[in-house]
Amino acid sequence: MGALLSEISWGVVLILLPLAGGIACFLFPRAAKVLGLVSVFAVLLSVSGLGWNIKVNGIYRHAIGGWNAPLGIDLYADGLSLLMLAATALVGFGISVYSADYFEREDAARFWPIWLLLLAALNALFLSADVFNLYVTLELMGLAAVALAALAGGRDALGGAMRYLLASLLGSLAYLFGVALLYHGFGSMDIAMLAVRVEASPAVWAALGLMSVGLLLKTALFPLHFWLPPAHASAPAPVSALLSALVVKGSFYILLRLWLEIFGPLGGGVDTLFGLLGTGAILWGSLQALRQTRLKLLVAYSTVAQIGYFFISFPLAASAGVTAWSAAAYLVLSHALAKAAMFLATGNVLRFGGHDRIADLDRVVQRLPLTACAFALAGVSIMGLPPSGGFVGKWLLLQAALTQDRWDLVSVIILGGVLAAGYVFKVIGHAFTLADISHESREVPAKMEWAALLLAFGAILLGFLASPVLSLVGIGVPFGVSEVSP
Amino acid sequence: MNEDIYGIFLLIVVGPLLLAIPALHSRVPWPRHLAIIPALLLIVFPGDASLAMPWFLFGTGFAVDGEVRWILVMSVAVWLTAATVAKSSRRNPAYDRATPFFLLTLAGNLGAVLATDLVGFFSFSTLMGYGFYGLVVHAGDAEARRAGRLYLIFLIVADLALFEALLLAALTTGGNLQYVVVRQAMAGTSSSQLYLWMALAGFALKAGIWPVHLWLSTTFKSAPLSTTLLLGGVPVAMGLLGAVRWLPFGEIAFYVLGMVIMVMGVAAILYAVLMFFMHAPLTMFPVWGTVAVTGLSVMALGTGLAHPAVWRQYEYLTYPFIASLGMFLAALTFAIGRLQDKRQAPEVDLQRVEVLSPWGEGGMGVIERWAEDRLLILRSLWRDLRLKAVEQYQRIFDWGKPAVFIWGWSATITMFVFLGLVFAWLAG
Amino acid sequence: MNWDAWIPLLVIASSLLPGLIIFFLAEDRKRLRTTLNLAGALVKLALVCWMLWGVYHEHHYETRLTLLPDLELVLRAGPLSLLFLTLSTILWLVTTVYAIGYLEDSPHRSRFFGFFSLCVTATVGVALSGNLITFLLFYELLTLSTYPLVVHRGTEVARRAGQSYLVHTIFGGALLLLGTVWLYTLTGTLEFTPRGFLNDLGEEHRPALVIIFALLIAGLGVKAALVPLHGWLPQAMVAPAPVSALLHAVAVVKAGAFGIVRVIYDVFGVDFAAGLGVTEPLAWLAATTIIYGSLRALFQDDLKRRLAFSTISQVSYITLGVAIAGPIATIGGVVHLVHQGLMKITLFFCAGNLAETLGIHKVSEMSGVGRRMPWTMTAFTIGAFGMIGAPPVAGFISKWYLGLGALEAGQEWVIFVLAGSSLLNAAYFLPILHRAWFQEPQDAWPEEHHFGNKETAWALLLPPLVTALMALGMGMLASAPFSPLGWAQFISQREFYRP
Repeated sequence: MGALLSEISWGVVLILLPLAGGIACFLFPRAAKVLGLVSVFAVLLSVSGLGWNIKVNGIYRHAIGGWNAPLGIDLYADGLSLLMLAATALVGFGISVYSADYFEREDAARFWPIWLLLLAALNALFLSADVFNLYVTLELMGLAAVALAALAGGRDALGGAMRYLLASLLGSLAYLFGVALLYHGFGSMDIAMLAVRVEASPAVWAALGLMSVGLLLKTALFPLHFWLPPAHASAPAPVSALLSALVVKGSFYILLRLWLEIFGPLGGGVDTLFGLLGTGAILWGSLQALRQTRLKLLVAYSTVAQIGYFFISFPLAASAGVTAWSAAAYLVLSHALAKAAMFLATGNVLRFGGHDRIADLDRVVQRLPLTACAFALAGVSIMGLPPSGGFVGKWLLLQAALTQDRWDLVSVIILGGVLAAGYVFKVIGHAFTLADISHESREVPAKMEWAALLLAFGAILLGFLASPVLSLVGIGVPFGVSEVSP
Repeated sequence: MNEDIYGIFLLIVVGPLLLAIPALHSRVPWPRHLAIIPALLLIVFPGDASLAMPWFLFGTGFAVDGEVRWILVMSVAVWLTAATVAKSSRRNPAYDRATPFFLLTLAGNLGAVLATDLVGFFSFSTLMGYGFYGLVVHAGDAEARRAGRLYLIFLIVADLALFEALLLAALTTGGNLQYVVVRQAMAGTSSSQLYLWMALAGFALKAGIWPVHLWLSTTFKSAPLSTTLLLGGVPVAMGLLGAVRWLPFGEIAFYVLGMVIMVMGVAAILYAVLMFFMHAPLTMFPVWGTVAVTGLSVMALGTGLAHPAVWRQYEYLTYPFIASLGMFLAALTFAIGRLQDKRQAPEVDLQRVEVLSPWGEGGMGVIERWAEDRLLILRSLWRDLRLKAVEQYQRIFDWGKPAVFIWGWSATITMFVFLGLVFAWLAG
Repeated sequence: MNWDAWIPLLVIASSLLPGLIIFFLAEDRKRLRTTLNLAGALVKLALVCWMLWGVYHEHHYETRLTLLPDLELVLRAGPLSLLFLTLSTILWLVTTVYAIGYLEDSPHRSRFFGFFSLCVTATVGVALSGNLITFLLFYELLTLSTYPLVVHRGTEVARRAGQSYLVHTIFGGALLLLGTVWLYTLTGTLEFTPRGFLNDLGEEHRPALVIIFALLIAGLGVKAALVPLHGWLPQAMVAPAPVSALLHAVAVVKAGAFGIVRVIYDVFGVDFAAGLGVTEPLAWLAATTIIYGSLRALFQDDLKRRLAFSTISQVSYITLGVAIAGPIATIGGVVHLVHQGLMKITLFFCAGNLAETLGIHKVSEMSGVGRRMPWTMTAFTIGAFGMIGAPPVAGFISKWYLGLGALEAGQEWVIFVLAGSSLLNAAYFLPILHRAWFQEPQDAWPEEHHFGNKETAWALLLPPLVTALMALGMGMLASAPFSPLGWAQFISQREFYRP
């Protein structure tokens, strides 16, 4: 059994499986729901297979068709990739269970193929080892995401989707230019080779600038976040969850990879810039979230803020590499779970009460205790209160900042948590106020409530799993070893 | 030591406390008297006895010996009188409501008398103080409340001062707070002066010694006889007893403070005499009597501080003195109060007089009614007798005023002669 | 694995599991809910008694789970933990009985009892924490689980009180987190160690340590209601009476005070802290709080509000006791943790009884209430006298040790603070007592309910009587073995001042 597990090339399976599932869903729209769920579950199993494989054998490498790096397509997975894949599979599965009840027949027929395509793109992205493949998967992911965002129809949704499309294309284009520059300069698109060959030169700086801007745009880092709130707010709940929890992480992952392997050693103050932008994101996003009167926009702005945290680790990584990157990885993972739970909970509220005005929420939230609970638990992780994944992430981040006496960042991290508490409790507060007016309501299937709750619970559970998760992420030493442990 | 007596010791304090529960004392005849019985038993029990209670607070105990028995006898007598007076004067509708406070005060008083160390004394006298507050204000009119408030303020301040003194003592002795130990230890430390001041101030407040006697007079004016009767024997006597027990008299010589205190005692006596002759009504006589007598005690204390040798010589007199002081004041108050009562009695009609009957309670009331129904002759006879008695009392009162006046003057002159003698003897 | 290693976890689970199950019970499953609650409380009590016996005989109960690569979640039952643990366990049992009576037929009971159990779980976790990060974890859990209880009534006032509570506690939590991480980056450990774990740290870290101390105390001071961080407490009294009782007696306020004890004795070590010069400002802060709380209490007509300000004042006795930094004062501070809990919970129970039975919420409505509800007011009287510090109620013992400790440590000014506080306590409690016992009742009570010939329901009457008796007993029997005082001395000997 063990031998069999390690012989299967899980990477290939991970890409082909959702693709095949998507095509099947497209061909058999009536069975789309079942097919989709089965495929996503199979992906989940495959990821655990890959994880087992990596744990036993170390870094996973697979050359598709037997062609090696400079020419062929390489699949590569270390701890970091595994983390992203696992997050995708877990969150994806949760959202799929939710979607199974959320989408009616016709919407379902459209949703499932695109979602499985997106899943394939994401998996491929996390498994890619060269910059061009990354581009391809990025583009695929973007298009699938835009299609999903437009799924709801209507003016708002289309408008949001259009903006998203524009941003996405622009981002990809910028990235592609960067890739071209790199290929032109160093004759390779394999990350590992580039890492060896690259040295500071104007072309490299230009590539760095273009790629970063493109990816930042797609990651929606402040001030390039303008497209995110409308797109997220107008999309159906599971789609918002997917976009916020997974899609932005895809581009962030690329940026992180490039930084770790290629651009990081160059230095040059870009990390400080990232840190500044991250700070801006945390403060601006949180304040905007606090100001919102609609639940979905609040959650969307919260995403803007949380993305800022990922970027805080760049300036900290210089001398506390492993801690800072572990923090970022952990934050990414727990944010994926928590934010998906939040959006799903929001979807429940929206479906139940037909609106998401925060001031009138009391009549809704009280009748949906599980949803309220899911939102609260997810909120705990977003705020960074213990015990939760968010807490572990922030703890590590703070630790990294404190060892370097970066008081500016320390105060931003703390302040961001406090502001997050502000906007989360702005919502939760309404769960307990009196609701005497009966409300026109639509039943919410139990599965939808439980999907949200279990995802949120996962984010909490992460607070206890830091040790095993971080040791898994450490496989293949993606973050280097430049660590002075306190 | 006799084992049986332990139960009595505990019963003396626990008994009244238990009876203070309304559900209990409303089911028992004569609850106030009943609560005093254990103490009575202890008095007649021959020989010294003690009970160590290491589990109580920081470890305390009860003991009775020849000296304590004096105080105990006085207390029991005063309390019994008060209980009987309260029972017979049922004009006060709040009788039942006062019973718990009566019993709490009783428990506190007896506990303080028997306690063998500072903390025990402090605890029980606090209980006594708050219980007494209840007795003062339970009548419920505005004046009583004012008096109660005043008493309470004095009580709290006194307790604070004593608490600080206690801390100083505990710090010096390392936790053992037996009277003897504390007296000896405090005689030889640097903090003894602060201790003296604190303890003296505390007990002066508690005993209503001039010039902090204010609560004494207001209380006296507003409270019923059954309460004022207790003033001398309970707060005042306990205050003096505390001072004697806590302070290292006879161990240290502290001339200046002793003289100051002595002068204050003289001033107190003068003040009392002055107040009495200036404008006080006869009914206030016990107050000024109290102030004068406590002034006398203060003089003695001052002397003790200034001349330890004198104190050691006459130390054996202190307990009998305090006991007789309490008894005297109670008797004085009782007499004056009785006179006053009787003078006011004709204002009530005959029906009222009937109710005033000392038998008009509980089971006795039934018998009396039975007798009244059956024996009409006896009944009218009884009524005549009562009327006659009232008239008699009134006559005594009318005549009594000049008598008391004369008595007062003669007492004063005697006192001054005595004072002069003391000073002469001290000087020589 | 050793069986002893699982007992602390079981103690946590004994309230966590019933709480989680209760969330999913329907409103009308009253009997099952009551059974679960009481069974959990009794199991916890049994476990705690078992550990008390064990710890006294030098057994070790410790659960360790990995939390972060170098940090563990540690639950350890030491003497100090057990003091707080026993208090919360007993008071949980009592308060549960009270809450069952109090919330009879009111809505959202499952939710209430669920969060109630979570709240106790968090408190118990705070008590058992063996290092600072575990403490932090449960401390925040406490914040979260108490919030729903504070806003339980669902009125606008309650919502605002909840908001104020959150603003304060989240802010405090953030400071605490910052201090904790900083400390960790300096030392690499957060394990509570008798007499502190900072002794080996170099001289150059002293300024940083002073700031860390300030951060930790500020974070804890929010819950311990140190002035000027106390704003939430008087507002939070809109919560139902059992919640206020638990909040003021064990859960939130005490968690803060307990944390301060931990920080001074098991993180910094009292001698080290005194050497840093941080204990004296803390003592002054506590003293200010004591006087300020009492002064504010004087002017409150709302009974629960007055009690809330009284809590602010009284809880700082604990802080004062440990900040004096002498062995005797420490005993006073630590033992007050228990004493204040019992006395204050009694007072809040009684306030709840008055509100529930007669509709009385204000001191000015209490005239003659002693005649209508003698037992309730007797319990109230005992609690109030304890607060004043009159012997033989438990408060006297605390004050005794605080005063003696202050004298011994040569800090005479504390005596004046204590005296002033007693005076003020008397000034705001005795008028209540006077009004209740000696004034004539009004013609009608604001909103009277009848309970047969009893003054109120059994479930409402018994808890305050039990706690009042305990407060009285702990004072009277202070020298008995296993009294809180004896245990506090045991703690002081074994943990704080062992040579």
